Amino acid sequence: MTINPSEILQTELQTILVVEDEVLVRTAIAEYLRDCGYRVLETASADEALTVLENTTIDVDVVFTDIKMPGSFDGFGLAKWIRKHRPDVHVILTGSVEKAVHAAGDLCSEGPHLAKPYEPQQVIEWIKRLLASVPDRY
Amino acid sequence: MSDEIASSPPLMDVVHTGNILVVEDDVALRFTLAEWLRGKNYTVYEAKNADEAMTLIVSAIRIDLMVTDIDMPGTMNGFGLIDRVRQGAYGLKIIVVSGNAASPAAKERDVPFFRKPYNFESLTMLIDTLIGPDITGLP
Repeated sequence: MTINPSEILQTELQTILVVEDEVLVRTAIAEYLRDCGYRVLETASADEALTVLENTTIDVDVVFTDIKMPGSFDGFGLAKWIRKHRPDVHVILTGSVEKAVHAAGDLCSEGPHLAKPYEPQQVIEWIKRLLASVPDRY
Repeated sequence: MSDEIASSPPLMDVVHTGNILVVEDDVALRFTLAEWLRGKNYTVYEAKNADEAMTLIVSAIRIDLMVTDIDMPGTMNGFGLIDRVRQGAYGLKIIVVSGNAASPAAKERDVPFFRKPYNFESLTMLIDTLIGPDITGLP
């Protein structure tokens, strides 16, 4: 059985598309948002995000994006594209890890159906520990 | 049929546990597989290439099994990633998925191989075999 993305990604859960090029930060924020009940799609750049958003059969409610990212355009460029082509999608721009985590905390406070699993400060501490656990060379 | 056997859960009800890393540069394939596996109750981490995968593997995150593509942009492809993981003795199981047929390089590395498009149920069964709970129920 092979699966079409639009089949598996149509859901009644609110879906957040996280756009973040730093994999450890992206992973921690995505896990936090999943823990409070959202469906989360992860992309590593605005270009990847665009690939998802151009497929209108994939439900996306919120794009949660870093601003500075490598690729053909940054978070501002992505937000501009969304306003023009997917005005139904809400955009949250984050400029730093702290801002990103607190914005994720706000989303968890709003819903969708589970209580906020833990304080945003704990996510920041977790990200710091993850970053510190990675040696310069492996 | 004894009560013990009668009360054994059917195979379809097996609770999947484990942490899986999906390494795939095609974003649609990556999150389709990741969401499928999350739907099976696995904890799933995602990497867009081998470099991101290594960052996750050497971090404090525990990973039991990695499903990796071969042809990916970055400083190394899937074979380089497999070699690096084995050199580092990180102790995770590996499954390869690729759009190409199994090459001599794949056979040399002696890893389970799925050619795209692959059957998600078959992949899940193999994952269970590699990291899943003992479901035989035998003493």
